Amino acid sequence: MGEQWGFYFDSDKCIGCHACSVSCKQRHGRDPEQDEWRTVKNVTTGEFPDVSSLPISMSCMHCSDAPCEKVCPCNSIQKREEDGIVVVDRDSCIGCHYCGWACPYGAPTYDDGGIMSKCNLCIGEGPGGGYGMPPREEQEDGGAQPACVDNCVGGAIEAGPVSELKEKASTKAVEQFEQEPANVIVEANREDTNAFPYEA
Amino acid sequence: MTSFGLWWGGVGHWDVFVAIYLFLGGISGGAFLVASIAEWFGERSDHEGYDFITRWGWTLSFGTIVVGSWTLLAHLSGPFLRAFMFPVKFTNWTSWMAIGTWVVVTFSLVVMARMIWATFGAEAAEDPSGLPRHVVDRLGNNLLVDWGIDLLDWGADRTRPTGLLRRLVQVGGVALAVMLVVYTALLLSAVSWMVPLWNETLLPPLFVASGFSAGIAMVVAVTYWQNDLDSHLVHRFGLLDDAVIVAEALVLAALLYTLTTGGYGAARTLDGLTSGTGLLLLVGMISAGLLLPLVISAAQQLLGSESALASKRVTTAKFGLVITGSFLLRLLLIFTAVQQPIIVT
Ligand code: SF4
Ligand code: SF4
Repeated sequence: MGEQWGFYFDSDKCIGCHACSVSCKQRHGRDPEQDEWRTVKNVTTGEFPDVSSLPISMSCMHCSDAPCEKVCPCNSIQKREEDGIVVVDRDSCIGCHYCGWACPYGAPTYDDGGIMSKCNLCIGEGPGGGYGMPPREEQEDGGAQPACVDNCVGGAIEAGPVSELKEKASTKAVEQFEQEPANVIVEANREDTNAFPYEA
Repeated sequence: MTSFGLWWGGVGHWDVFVAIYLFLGGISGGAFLVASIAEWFGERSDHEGYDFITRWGWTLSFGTIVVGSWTLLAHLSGPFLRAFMFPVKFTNWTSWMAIGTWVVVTFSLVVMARMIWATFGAEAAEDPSGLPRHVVDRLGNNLLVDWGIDLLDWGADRTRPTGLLRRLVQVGGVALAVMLVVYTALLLSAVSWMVPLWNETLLPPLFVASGFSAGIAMVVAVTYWQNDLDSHLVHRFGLLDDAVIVAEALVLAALLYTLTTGGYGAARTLDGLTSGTGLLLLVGMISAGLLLPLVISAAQQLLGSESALASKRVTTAKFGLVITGSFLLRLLLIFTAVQQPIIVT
């Protein structure tokens, strides 16, 4: 099994400008009105009067134990051994939306033809672009920098082999990462912060 | 101070076709179970009413699973023909959708065989419960292919199992019918960790009870009208239905209780069930599917078989309410289901 790739996100550096989601749509030719492989939301935290708004940018987390892969009847979703990227074979997808129920992060999207597509960590371009591609390479070795990483104005998103991302992250963020199925390290600089686990 | 925000994901990944499919799958399995029970009693009694119920049971079970399978295909948003490739495409054995498809296919073949064995052949019934044979006869006459019915009669008599094989088919069929209904529950509860309403412990018994009670209601109501079923038998099956409805009510109550202790997703589901359309569905389901049928049955018991409440129309209306409740339950489970939120702290 090759080195697993993932994302790193630092909400303190995110200004909620949507440059990541817009550039993602451009790179992959997604519907500007509908498709959201990467979503940015301002999430209100705290209780009145101590309320603040936290911008969060999120895409497919390329989960280590991808629940979408388990439920897909056609084996259209695959967690790649070589780099851990979760890809979709759109030629076999029947559009049953089962993955939509199973995904904890709302990552699968369905186009007009009803077929699922989602973030492929830019190992290819366009829907289904990641399927059947060679293992992910770093930028210096010729691999494409993910559009969101390339265009993030605050440097809030990074992508790479998980071991490298861990070196950049705080101990708390890494501890949090170890407990989550998502292949994303979420920086947790603020006091009392434990990033975004999905369980209630 | 708690300092967190909730990011709610998308809801409503499935449409009404899935609810119809789950309802028809349940009622098909239920009708099969009723037919099997009637067959068992019919073998030990010479009351012809059991034979009527058995034949209608297989026929209605077959009809509902055929229509149900089409509604399942109708919900797919991908290329329609791709779904027909399921024998080669559905290869993920960790997915209940793939496993369930094979359960549906096997069950459909078994119920079709049982229906043909019961309604075709040298001793085919002339009465309305022999509907499949009448339909083939009518079609054959219109399409000028009168050999079709002869072929089915010939085939039914030569393939109808006897002895031990017959017992195996009977037991295997019941097992498949239960698997069919249970799988429709497992299809949802496989993601119960994301969707609190789809509780993995309670959904299978809830679906079995709902499918069985609706199956009894449909088969007995149709037999009552089509074959003028003896009201004594209607009453006995009605009491069985009541017992199943009580069990269903208990499981539903337990399911609703789990939502009071299940975190943010469960709390939001409960909010949805206690306001707007969710409340209408819940009240409708409880009234039509559980309370009113039990009240009607209790009144019939108290007032006796001569009372107006024990009339054929009222009894049929009671069965109609049970079937409506079963459908409302599926609508409720699909349209009020909420996924767990992401907690942002
Ligand atoms: S985030 Fe969703 S779509 Fe991506 S791997 Fe995890 S479950 Fe699958
Ligand atoms: S929509 Fe496509 S990718 Fe998703 S579970 Fe169904 S077949 Fe698989």
